Amino acid sequence: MTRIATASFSKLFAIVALTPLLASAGAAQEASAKAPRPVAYKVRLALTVSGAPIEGAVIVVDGDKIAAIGKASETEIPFGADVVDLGDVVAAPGFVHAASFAFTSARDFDGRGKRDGGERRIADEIAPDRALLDRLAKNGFTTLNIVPPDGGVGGRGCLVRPVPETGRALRPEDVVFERDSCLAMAFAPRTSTKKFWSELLKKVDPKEAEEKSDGAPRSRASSSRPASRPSSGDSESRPTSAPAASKAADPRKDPKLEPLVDVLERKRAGLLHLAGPAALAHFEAILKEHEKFRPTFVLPPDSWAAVDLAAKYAKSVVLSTSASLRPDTYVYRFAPLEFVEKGVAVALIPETSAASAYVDYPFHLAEAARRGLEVDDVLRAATLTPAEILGVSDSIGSLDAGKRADVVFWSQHPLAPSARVVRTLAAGAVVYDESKEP
Amino acid sequence: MRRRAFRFFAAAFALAVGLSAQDAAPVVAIVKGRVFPVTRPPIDVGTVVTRGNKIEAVGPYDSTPIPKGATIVDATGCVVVPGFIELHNHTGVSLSELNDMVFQTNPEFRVVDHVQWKTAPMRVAVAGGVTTLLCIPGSGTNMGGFGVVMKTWGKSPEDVVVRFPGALKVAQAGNPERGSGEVGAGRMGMNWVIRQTLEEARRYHRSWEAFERGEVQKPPQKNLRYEPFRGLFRKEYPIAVHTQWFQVVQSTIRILKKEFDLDPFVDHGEWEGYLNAPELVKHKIPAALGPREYDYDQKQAKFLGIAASYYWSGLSGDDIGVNTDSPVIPQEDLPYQVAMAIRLGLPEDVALKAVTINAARMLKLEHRLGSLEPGKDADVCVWTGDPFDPRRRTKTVVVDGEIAYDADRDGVLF
Repeated sequence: MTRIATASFSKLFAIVALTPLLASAGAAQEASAKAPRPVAYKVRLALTVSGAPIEGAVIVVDGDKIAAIGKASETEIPFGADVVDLGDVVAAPGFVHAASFAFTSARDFDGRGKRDGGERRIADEIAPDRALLDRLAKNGFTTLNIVPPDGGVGGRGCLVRPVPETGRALRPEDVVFERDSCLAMAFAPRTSTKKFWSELLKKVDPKEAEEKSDGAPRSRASSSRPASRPSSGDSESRPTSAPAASKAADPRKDPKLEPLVDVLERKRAGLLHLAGPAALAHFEAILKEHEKFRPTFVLPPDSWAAVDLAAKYAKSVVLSTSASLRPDTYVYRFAPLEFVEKGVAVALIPETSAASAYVDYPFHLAEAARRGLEVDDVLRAATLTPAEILGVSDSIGSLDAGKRADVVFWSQHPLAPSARVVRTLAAGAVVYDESKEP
Repeated sequence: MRRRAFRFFAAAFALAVGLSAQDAAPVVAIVKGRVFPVTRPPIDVGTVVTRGNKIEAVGPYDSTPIPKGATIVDATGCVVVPGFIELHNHTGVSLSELNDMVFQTNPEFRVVDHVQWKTAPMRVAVAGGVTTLLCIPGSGTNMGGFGVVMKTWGKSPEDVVVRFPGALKVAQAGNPERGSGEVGAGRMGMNWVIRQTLEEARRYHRSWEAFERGEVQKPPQKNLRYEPFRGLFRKEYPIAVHTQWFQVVQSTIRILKKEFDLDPFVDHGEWEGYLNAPELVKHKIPAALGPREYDYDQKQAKFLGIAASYYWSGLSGDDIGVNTDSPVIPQEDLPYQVAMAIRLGLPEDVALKAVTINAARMLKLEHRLGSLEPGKDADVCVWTGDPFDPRRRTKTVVVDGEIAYDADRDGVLF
């Protein structure tokens, strides 16, 4: 159904122009395109991720949502729905990439820099490209969280999904479905970056800074400020920290600081790229100072060396599927496993931001299973966990009624070595169909 | 009298020692696994018995007797396959000793003199189920020297060598390309020096043949540079040709096969070399593919599996191998190179042959390696499942009849 809805307009036009008979069919198609009928996909196995796998499942997709999912024998298929029996396929939620640089100019960055980009939205900068978008769909990705690749406060990320062919050059608004998904930050140790972060967090979290320090420098600073600066509203909103509030402007009113306040108040996902174990060690002082500042860490493969430290400060981390060798040895360490063993939630992402990394992502997920993670945990780390980290697990990340219809149909279990994607749905629309490939 | 008694005693002692040595040959019985002998149909519940460094028996568990005193390896629920064979590899030598770039062609160099095998990467290679390597010189010049076929595990430097010379390493393009203005700056110059060296080697070989046939009375002067070429012209061992692009495979066919009638195999096969597949079939030249397992074809705007492209362009499933070019890809990742090849379209039955019997055939060692058959080398791997499933790993690896790696004993190494 959705294919008809997304069929190129020129094709429809050609049909209309050819014969009156076909013209009426074309009109019918067009009419149905406006109010697509539900589609019931029958599959051998549905890996819901949120619950137990369902053998012989049916997934009812209505519009952009999953209307129902369950055993074929127990699930009512709505009247008038199209039934698509895909046969021996395995359905799984689409992969969610928690921290991608796709469609930006960057490939990788080292986290240095002191950008003050709280206002910046990467949605205003991305250049979506059809080839990469199709490749994502073909390899099972239905959501990418694009993050600004800059040190300091990089800016606000956006969520992107594959879309069917539009017949024209892609525009950012075609693919972006959430313009403000998270606040992306990065830190690499420098005297200047440490100072930057320390000063920045004092602005949004003055109370704790006040309590930790003996208060003397703070009072001197406030005495040097004009008395008219603090507003009465501020002191009311922060009655317990009158000295700090009386001196600092409300950070909520500063659009640059507002998202950081949200991160502190757990209202917004915060992703902090740390350049390595040493970066975390250097950043610890800042984390100690600001107990509310607990972003999700995005860490490189060698971060197993800092697993204890990271587990102390982060409930969740984003890691690539790479294993790394212990220096000067031939002993592999696999950071995701070590974090899971510490009770930290792990979201997995591809090894590099290069386009080709998406081709072997399911393969590297399978390797993660060999390196000790449970197969179900691996699948969760690629779908539901990143959705939870981004605060969108109520709408994506698993196969559940009411969630967005991001469904990937695989020829076998997605981690099996020769599994192929047969069809991909993003928000109910078919964005990849193997049978339509040249 | 006394002397005679001593002689008798000594002889008896020697006999006893000899007998006990024979008895002491380790016997390993791998039981209850799903056995893939490669050259024969799989056995659902099978037994593989090795005695000394050879396989003694392969058969169903019910009908294959287990010798008394054998070390039992329980392979219940596991998959038993031959040890895998790597066709393009540098793990056996240190990287600083890979290339001696004295002349444009250096066939006089031999890897065998400086192999190392008791190294950490080699131990992990064994754990990855790789038991045999064609360890070759680098591609710094058009002929890097003669490589060696070796095991990944053994007791002495002689013990690990399966055959020397293993293969001549030829590189016709890419890495050996020099700066401009000298011979070897481009492919024309490089092909010229390869032809010239081969021509001289052939002359040397023919002069010795004439002497051996008695046509010449005086033996020709020995030349260490060209001596190993004699086996090459007698087709006792192959040429491993480092190819990358279409044109290189083309010159492999033209120069090495058509002009000199040698037995080359395409090694390090990548990019669009598969376009030569019909010619390779015509001249019976096999191909080992990797380390790159996929290529983005801009004309078709899609990813192509390289092994799959060779296969679907007509190259027989018996003529396809896969290589890592370790340490470019870690040696233990050979099975995962194969897994990538499968994922990108290589049929699974070809995949298993690619790293076992096909590779053995390319090395002209199919009488010793590449399948589980009585009389062949006792190189057997027990996997926790399909070896080409990245979720699985090895449980036990037997090399030359001894348990070289056991995950329970040695820990999971990768």
